[in-house]
Amino acid sequence: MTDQPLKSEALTPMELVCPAGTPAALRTAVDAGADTIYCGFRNETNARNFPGLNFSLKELQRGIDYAAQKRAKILVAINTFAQAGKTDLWKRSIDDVAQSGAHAAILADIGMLDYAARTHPDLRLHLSVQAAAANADMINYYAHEFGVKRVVLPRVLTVQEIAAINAEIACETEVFIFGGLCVMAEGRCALSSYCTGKSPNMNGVCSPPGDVSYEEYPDHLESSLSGITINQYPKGEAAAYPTLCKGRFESAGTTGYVFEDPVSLNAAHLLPALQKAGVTALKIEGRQRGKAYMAQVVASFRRAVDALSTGDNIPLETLLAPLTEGQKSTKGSYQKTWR
Amino acid sequence: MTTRHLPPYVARITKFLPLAPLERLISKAAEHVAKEHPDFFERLDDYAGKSYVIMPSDLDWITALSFQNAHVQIRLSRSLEAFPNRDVLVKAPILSLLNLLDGQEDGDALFFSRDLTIEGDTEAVLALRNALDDAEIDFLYQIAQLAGPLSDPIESSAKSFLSRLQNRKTSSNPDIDIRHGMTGPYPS
Repeated sequence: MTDQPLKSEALTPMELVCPAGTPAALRTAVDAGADTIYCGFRNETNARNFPGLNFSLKELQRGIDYAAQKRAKILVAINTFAQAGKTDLWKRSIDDVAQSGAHAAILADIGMLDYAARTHPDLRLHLSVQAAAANADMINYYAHEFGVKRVVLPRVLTVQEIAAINAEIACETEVFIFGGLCVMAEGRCALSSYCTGKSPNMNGVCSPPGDVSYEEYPDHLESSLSGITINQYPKGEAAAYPTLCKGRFESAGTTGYVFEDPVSLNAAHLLPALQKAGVTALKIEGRQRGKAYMAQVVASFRRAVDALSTGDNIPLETLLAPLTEGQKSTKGSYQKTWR
Repeated sequence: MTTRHLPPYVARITKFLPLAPLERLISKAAEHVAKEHPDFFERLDDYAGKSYVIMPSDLDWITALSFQNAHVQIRLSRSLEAFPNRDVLVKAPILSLLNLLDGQEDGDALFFSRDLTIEGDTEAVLALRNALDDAEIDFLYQIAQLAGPLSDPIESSAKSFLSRLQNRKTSSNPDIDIRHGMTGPYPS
């Protein structure tokens, strides 16, 4: 793999898919050049179920109208797994998306995919990263059984593996290029549940804020989750999210990041390679982030994606460093160099 | 990277501002904001009744806010001890707080850089941050509106002054070098 930009004018332009946690963030993302914006309802059906975040049905419809004026599309994530005895909430949400005029629903739960395919045959379906579909057979099953048109690939694949998958499947692929980075297989991580009883898979929250506390000491900042110390940041060190996977713990006589360092994904350098690998859409993570993040990240990647046709390489690492967790970025598993 | 700390001479001047009239002025502007942004309270939902204490780290006054019944209650003090029953304490330089208010800066980025610290009810902080980010409040505009016919020149002077302060070229947090970030081994 090389960091040298490849001239990509003969390839199909990739779609830029951007997050929005609020109507204002949606408008910001549209104005900054997003082709597509994904968002969720204000309940447990989406994987960013944080206080003050997300959309009512009325807000969604206004967002769809705003996006349409600039030829942008809206996707709605209903990408948690339906809870036993409460599946009506997930089904109602799918019904709402079908009637809203949104471009597609992003689903993970196989039962909800079945419900959507049978009840709303005209509703375009995308497979959420939460479904962790990481091989061609699995993806083809979803495409064949439920008519899934696009799969969001889990962040565990190399670019070569993505190219191999694209050669064997009959639907589009979307990959993450920037933002918070889960190091576990999405939809299967139980670390947050272990500590708090709540997870992104069932409740839409990883490290739910009600279980998080911060304490400022004279020489360090301490973050805790349900009373378990996640990290202690000495004065002068950048802070990170209070997730167990990026916590600093004592193990085998040393203190360090047992699972992963606090870093964010930034695959700006890999855009030409991803295009060559047959990727249809590029996804930015961060529905929990504010308008300032949307404005800067979306505009930066808009320029980077547009520059592909001329073979230009727009460096984004330094520009976007202040917005990244731990103020460091990684190419993640796209280029596997993890310890 | 823009500066978020007030220059010392500005901080010194604000020490002499009397809090009672300032509290009345901010309260009046906040009531205008509340009337124009009913969605803010809906988004804040159950967290409207919480007591939020905002502490500009480069000023010597502290603001306590609550948002019950679609009204904003504001109290100013020079001592944190005046608000013993607070649910939340948010501390950051005043320019960053103003930027957060109008969506010019990202709250998570300020947290990563250690410019912003929070203590207390993390859910309530997130709810307030998200509700403010969605509300698109131009607080300086609202304050200037109280000046009646002089509102336009006051607004443009205040914004131009703040813009000059923001654009001074130094690191936001001199303790952190963003080229290197955290210490330790990293994946490439």
